Amino acid sequence: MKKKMFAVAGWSTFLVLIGLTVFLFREGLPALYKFPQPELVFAVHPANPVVRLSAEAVRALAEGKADWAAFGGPARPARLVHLANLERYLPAYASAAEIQRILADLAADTAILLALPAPLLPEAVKPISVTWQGWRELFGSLYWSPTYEPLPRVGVWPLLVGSVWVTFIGLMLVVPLGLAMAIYVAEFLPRTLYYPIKVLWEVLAGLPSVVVGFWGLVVVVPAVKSVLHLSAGETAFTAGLLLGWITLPLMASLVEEALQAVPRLLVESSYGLGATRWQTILRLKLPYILPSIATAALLSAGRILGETMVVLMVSGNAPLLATTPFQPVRTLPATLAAELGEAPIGSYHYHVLFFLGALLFLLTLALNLAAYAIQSRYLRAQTLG
Amino acid sequence: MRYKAVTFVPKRWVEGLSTALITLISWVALGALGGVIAFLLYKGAGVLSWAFFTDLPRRGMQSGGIGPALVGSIYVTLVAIGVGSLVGTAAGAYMSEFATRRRIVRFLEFLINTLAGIPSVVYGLFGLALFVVALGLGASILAGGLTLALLSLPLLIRNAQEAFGAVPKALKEASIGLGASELQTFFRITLPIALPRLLTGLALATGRVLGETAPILFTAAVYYLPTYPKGLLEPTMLLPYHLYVLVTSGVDVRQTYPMAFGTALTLLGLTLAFTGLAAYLRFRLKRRYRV
Repeated sequence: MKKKMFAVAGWSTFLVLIGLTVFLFREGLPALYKFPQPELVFAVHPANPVVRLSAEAVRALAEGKADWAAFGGPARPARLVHLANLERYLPAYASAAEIQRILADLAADTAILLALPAPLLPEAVKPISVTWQGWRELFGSLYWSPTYEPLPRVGVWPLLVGSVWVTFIGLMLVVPLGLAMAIYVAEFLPRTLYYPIKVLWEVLAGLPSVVVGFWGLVVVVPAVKSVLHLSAGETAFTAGLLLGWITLPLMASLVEEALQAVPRLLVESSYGLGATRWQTILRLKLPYILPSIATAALLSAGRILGETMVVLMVSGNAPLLATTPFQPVRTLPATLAAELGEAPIGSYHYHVLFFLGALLFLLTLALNLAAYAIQSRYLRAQTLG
Repeated sequence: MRYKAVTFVPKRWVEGLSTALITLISWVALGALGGVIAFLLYKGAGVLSWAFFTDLPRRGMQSGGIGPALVGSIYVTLVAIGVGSLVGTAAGAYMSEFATRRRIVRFLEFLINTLAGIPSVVYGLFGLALFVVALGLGASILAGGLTLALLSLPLLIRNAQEAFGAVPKALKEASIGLGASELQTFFRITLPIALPRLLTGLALATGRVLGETAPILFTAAVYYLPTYPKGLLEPTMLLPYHLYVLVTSGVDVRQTYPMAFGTALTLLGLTLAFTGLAAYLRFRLKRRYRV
């Protein structure tokens, strides 16, 4: 009986992983098929023959990029009335009756497109259906503006590109510097300093990310701004710099362990043949531990990709498609942290954020599985002496 | 197969330079760590006082203290470590002592590594969907603590497994040989001997949990609540989130900076105390077991 409880605890990780997957996808997948504004009714003038519009068509009409003729209606640009611009048509203090009258006047226009809650809708209009293709909206759009009226823009590319820039910069930093630190500690560090430096690594790895973000904001952001002559120091580069730094202990300790595990037989053969210490490192040890280096780099990438608070504080938080790392960006995790608090539970925004969470989960999972695959494949091949 | 002779003659000064370079890199990276600590000490030490730790935030968080945030963080951490250590230790014991097949242990280790790689903000989403919404706990100390417990599980399980694995086999076998049952052996022999290592892992996990921000954003934290938490089902202010709020969304950010430095220093001090304790304990234990 007691033993069974141990077994249940032992399998708790399995339950957590299953639960995590189920809940992320249960809340995230509705972003693909739900309509973002179920409470809104889209309606046109009864004389307008249009009965169905796509979300893109609504946007094109709203922004004046197309007129009704493109969709089989009258040859006039559309006039859109929705909750966010309604006040433009109303006097400062309008009574309910007045609002009804003004809306009815607006609805008399044959070029009108209304997007209003059902109770506000005038009587003499024709409701139309608006189709929403979640998949195309998420992966076919370059804009992220999830509270845009009347229909949100939920393109994930700006966020993905932001994440990629930050991870790229972080890796550029953490891989060479992590290797250097690992070689130093494994080969050149006096033995008396070995445990103290390990403690320092642990302390660095354990720095609260919000503290690192704060320090970055006060010290690193102004420094980046003045050194690189940028208009703002909050960039993907700044975030990558800080994340690379706090990921160093992970990278360095994994590589250092691998360096220590190179078989003595090989190392001593190398020295015995007259190779110097650096020759042994560069020509024997590093090639030998290449799979471990790849594993460490993948795990570091996963760590950087998932970091939230530092990025939220120093990357500028602009969900725009960045073409260079010296622009403000917004990453996937930072978007979750910044917006989930404002998204009403069960709303389309909420589902989209969970969709992003599921995406982030799958990306980090892929990195970790790749790391695991490399490790288990090559470690088995390397059982020598 | 033909071998190519290596005709490269090592240059002494190139090797010396390389060594100097990696030495420099290593110490600069760690020097930056010292820089952070020194900077926060320099800017934040003046703010710290007994009143700062106990007082409520006042005047739009520009003065007063961090009392509720400090207490909230302690409550959430207690819940997280309480639940996490029970489940984590039991799971570690199962993997090290009771699991009968090697393949099961290998599979569970794989799951732990997978969980350890999942970003903390994703745990936050899971906590929101499961504890806050589905189980109806609302944003509360309990929901936040349970979320952080899940987050700390991989670390705690791995540590417990190592701790139990490091107990000399001879002692366990002697106990079994004297007629003790497997469970008796575990509770009377293995657990007491593994205790110091278990506590090391606990201290490490406590340090990590205290500093986590992303998982508690939606599961426990509130922007401003100038009272001390009264129950487990209430939301609370928390140190890391309070720091984030002070830095990014105060009424006048410049005015709240002194408070932010004090909060950052407190948070850093707490996490460093636990991480440092864990690192020191591990260092001591390593030496003892080397004999």
